[in-house]
Amino acid sequence: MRRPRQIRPFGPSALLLEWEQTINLEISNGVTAYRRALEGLPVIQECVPGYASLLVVYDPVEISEHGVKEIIFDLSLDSTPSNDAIHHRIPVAYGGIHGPDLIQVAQDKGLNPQKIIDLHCAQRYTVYILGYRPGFAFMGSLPPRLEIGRKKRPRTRVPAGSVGLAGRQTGIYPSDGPGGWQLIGRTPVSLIDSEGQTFARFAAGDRVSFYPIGTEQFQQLAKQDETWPVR
Amino acid sequence: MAGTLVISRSKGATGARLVDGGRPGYLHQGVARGGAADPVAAAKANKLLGQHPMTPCIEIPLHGGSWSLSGDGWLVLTGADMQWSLDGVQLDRYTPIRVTGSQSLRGTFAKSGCRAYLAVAGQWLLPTVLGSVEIGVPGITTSFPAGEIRIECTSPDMPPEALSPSYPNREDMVSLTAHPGPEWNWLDDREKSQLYTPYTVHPDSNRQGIRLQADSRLDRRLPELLSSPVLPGTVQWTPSGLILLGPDAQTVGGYPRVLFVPKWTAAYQLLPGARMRFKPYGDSSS
Repeated sequence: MRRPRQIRPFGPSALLLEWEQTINLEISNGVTAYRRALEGLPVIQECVPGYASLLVVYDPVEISEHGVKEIIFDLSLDSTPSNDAIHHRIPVAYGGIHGPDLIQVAQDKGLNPQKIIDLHCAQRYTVYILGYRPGFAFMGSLPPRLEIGRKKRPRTRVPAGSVGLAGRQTGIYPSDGPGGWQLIGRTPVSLIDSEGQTFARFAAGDRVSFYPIGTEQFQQLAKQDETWPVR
Repeated sequence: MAGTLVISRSKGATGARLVDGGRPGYLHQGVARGGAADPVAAAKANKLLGQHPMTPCIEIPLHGGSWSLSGDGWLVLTGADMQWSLDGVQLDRYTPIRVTGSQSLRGTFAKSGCRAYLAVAGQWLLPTVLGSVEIGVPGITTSFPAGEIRIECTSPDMPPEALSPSYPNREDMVSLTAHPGPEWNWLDDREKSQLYTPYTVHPDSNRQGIRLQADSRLDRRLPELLSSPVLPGTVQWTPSGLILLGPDAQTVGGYPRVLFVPKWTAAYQLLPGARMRFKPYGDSSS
C-alpha cells in the first residue's frame, strides 16, 4: 500500500489526496485503504476514488480543512489488503452476437479469437474506479497483448452487460447506452440494482475475473434471480 | 382540501425535467449528484407552498412552453421570468396560485434568468430510484414523463409572498468567485491571467456543463489526466474550451481541473450569449 504524495484543497469543502499519477495496484490499494478509513466518519460526506487520487468531501460547517487534514494524518492504516475486497467471478458469453468486435480485435492483435478469450479470462483484474455512468467499473490491467484502442465510431447503443476493452482496461456496461469500447462478450448477470440495498455490484478495490459460458447458459443465468456477494 | 392535480406538457418546454434533492452520496458509484440547477429558486418554490424544499418540482429551461392543468391544487412559479399566464391571465412569480378545473399554463422565452421552477403543493406520485425522481440512473428513462404527472394535492399554509429576485440582464457581466483547481499550476502565468478574462455562455450548455467561449482563444492543449474525481463547479480545460461542470456532470474526468467555483449555480441562470468572468477567491472587487 502506498501513501499519498500530497493533500490539497479542492475548493472550500473538499480535499484531494494524490498519489503518483500512474495505474498501479499498490497505489490502488492505498486509495482503497484511505477511502475505507474515511468514508464512515460522520464529518466526511463522500469519498470519490480516482485511479491515483481520492476526493474527500466534508461539511465545512462541521469541520475545517485543517481538521480533516489532521484526521487523515492520524489515520492508522493496515498495509495488508482488506478482507472486505470481494472477488467477483463473472460469466461471459464471448463472441457472436454478444461480442461483435471479438473477431476484429483478434485480427488486429494477430491472434485467434479463442486466444483473446483465454487471455481475457486468465487475468484477475482490479476495479480501479467507478465512473462515466452509474455502476460502470474501470478494471485493469489487461495483459499487454490485449491492449487496444477504442472504436473510431462509438456505438449509439451498447446492450447492458456488454464486456469491453479499451487501452489497458476492461469493463462491463451496466446499462444500455452509447459506448466506444471494443465489445468481446456479454454477461447475463446484473451490475446495478435500482431497488436493492446496494446500487452498484462493484466497488473500487474489488477483484474481478471472467469465465466463458455458452449461449444456453447465458439464457438460463439471465432468467435467474441472483444474490450479490455481501460486503 | 384533498384533490388531485394532473399536469401534462402540451407544447414546447422540451428541456423540462423533474428535479428534487438529487442523489448525493453516490459519486463513488458513478452516480451524478443531480438536483435543481438553481436549488435556491427550486427550494423557494416549495417553501412558499409550506413543503420540504426538496419536494419534486419541474425545472423548465429557456422557454416556458404550454402545460395543461386539470384538477384542484396550488402551484408556485419561481426562477426565470417567463411571463407566465394561466388561461391568458398574467401570473406573478413567487406567490401561490390556485388552480381549479381545466386550465392552460403558458410561458414565453425567458426575459431574465434561464431556468424556471414549477412547484405544486402535495405528494407527487412518481417512482424514485436511490431516493430521487430524476433521470440519470436506470429505472428512470425519461427526463420528463411523456404522459402526465399526478399530484395528490394539499392546501398550503399561506406564508408571506416573496419578492421575485432580479437576474442579470444579458448584457451584464456576471462574476463568479473561483479557487485554483488541482491542475492550476499546469498553466503558465499568461494562461492563468487568461482564465480571468470574459467569457460568453455557449448555446450547447446544459446540466452537464456550461460551455464557455473565450474572447481570446485558449491555445494550448494540455495533457489529459488519469480519470480523476470531479465535482459540480469544477472548471475543466478541454481542447474545445473551458467547461464549468454542473449537476449532471460525470463523476470522473480526464481533463485538467484548472478552477473550482463553489457558487456555480449562479451560472445556471445565465442565458446563452450571456457574459461572465471568473474572479480569484479573495478578490473583493466586483
